[in-house]
Amino acid sequence: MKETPPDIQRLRVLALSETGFVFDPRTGHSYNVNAVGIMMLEGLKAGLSQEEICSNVRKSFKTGDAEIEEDLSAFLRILKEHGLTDTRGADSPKESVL
Amino acid sequence: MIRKPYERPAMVRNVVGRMNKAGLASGIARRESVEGLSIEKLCAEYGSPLFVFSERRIRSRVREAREAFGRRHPNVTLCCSYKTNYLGAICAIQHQEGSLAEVVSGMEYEKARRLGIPGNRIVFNGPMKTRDELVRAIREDAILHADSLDEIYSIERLAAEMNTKPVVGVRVGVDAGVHPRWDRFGFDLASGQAAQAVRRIAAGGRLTLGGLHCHIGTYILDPGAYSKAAKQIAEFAAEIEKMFGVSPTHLDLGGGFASNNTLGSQYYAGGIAPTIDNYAEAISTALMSAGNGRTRLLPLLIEPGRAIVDDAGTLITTVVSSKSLANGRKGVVVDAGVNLLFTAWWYRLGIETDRATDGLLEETAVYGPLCMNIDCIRESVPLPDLRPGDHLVVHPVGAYAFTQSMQFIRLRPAVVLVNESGVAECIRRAEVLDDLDGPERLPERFKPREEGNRSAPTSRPV
Ligand SMILES: Cc1ncc(COP(=O)(O)O)c(C=O)c1O
Repeated sequence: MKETPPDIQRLRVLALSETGFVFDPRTGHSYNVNAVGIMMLEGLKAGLSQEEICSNVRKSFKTGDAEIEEDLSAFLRILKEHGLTDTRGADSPKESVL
Repeated sequence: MIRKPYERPAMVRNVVGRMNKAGLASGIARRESVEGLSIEKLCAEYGSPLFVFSERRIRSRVREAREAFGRRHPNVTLCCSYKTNYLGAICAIQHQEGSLAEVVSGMEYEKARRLGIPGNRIVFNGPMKTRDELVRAIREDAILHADSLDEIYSIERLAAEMNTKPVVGVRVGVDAGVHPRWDRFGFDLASGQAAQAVRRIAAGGRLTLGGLHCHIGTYILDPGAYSKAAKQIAEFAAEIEKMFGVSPTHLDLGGGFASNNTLGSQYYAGGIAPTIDNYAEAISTALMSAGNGRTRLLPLLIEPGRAIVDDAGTLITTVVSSKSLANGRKGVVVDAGVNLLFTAWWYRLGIETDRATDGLLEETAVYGPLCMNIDCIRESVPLPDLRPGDHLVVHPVGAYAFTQSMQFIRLRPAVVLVNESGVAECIRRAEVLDDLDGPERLPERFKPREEGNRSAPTSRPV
């Protein structure tokens, strides 16, 4: 099943530092994110596709046989759990209860 | 370009707590578990409210503190501040990690002894130590820090009676720029009272000088205050060596490091506490650059309380009802109030819920179950539309909340510890009425009459 692309509006307001400190001015929450996470966040903020983000990660990290695509999906779930993305995009249809 | 090793993307939220501000976003993270265990299941098994502690978090904080100081000082020992949380299991974890016990009463002292801590691993502080408590502490070689001249005189008398020469340290009051100053404890340094106390101990012939103790306050957000305190203590140690020819056995810089909580007066939630590294750096640097060669090598004790255990404690509470207040604002009543969260008067505790929401969050007042107007945990916190049976998760509540909890109107709930394998163990059962009634003695004439003769003891008002 193709995942709904995340709504990245909320990510745009995040302040990221190279050291991995992320601040969300909307909620006042701060986070620590590792280097791969920061690269993914930057890619998401810039509106890159998931393929482009994964390819950037491969260029910058010794990824070996890591499942970057799966990890990115997992990271998107983490962002969602933190309330930083929302897959219910404005124009995506509301899930039916029927 | 050197390619760094890949690690799976990770994101850890630093702080629990929410900004108190209008213009709320919809959708907050739903919280269905505490320390990896289902809230629903925990409540089903142990009841609600429920305190949940994490063994892993306590151990990792102790290790973090130990390593932060260990990297910078040759001889540091942590002490477990009993008053912060003297649940046996919580103290025992810290003792397993090598911490001494830091107690401020005979009751706490006995608790430490029952955990198998010998007297010589108990630091006995505080403004009140009874004669019996002192006798025991002397007999068991406890690490005593005297708080007043009267106490020193008492110890001298006991020394004579017991025909021994106890080792007695002094609590020193310094101006570290902290307001309000905790100047009611110990002996003021600047006015010469600390020197007087040391002279009495060193020259009085009945006692031997122990350590120099100092605890500048609590939730100290400025590590610089510790630099000031440590410098003065180190210089004082060097000075008494010159003046009286004695050297303290150790220096004890007390506790007071801030935890990752949010003060009531803070605008943004959390995130303002310095790291333990910051405090360790401030204290160690000051100790290593002040005093003399000998004072630099004196064993150092540290007594952090809230910085170690605050984050490890969570309170699960259940919504009883939800209502609109007179001004239209939302309010919920939950089954835990200031009887269990004394700290709510001081902290803006983080509150999350297990209710899923895609609607708007509303500013909601969270009230406890006491029939008292003061029973409010948070005046205003953005929450979804809560229903009876929903849970709120209050965090961090590991420090002082339990030890300061009141058996007022309601009995205290159970406490569980989630061990390192992720399994919950009950470390304190929920109280029953007998725990409260046990010490009471009801005069015979007030006792209800036997079955079969059940007229009320007093006549009923009409
Ligand atoms: C002598 C002494 N040591 C340690 C502590 C622990 O303080 P905190 O929890 O602020 O670290 C206290 C608390 O008041 C104290 O009085």
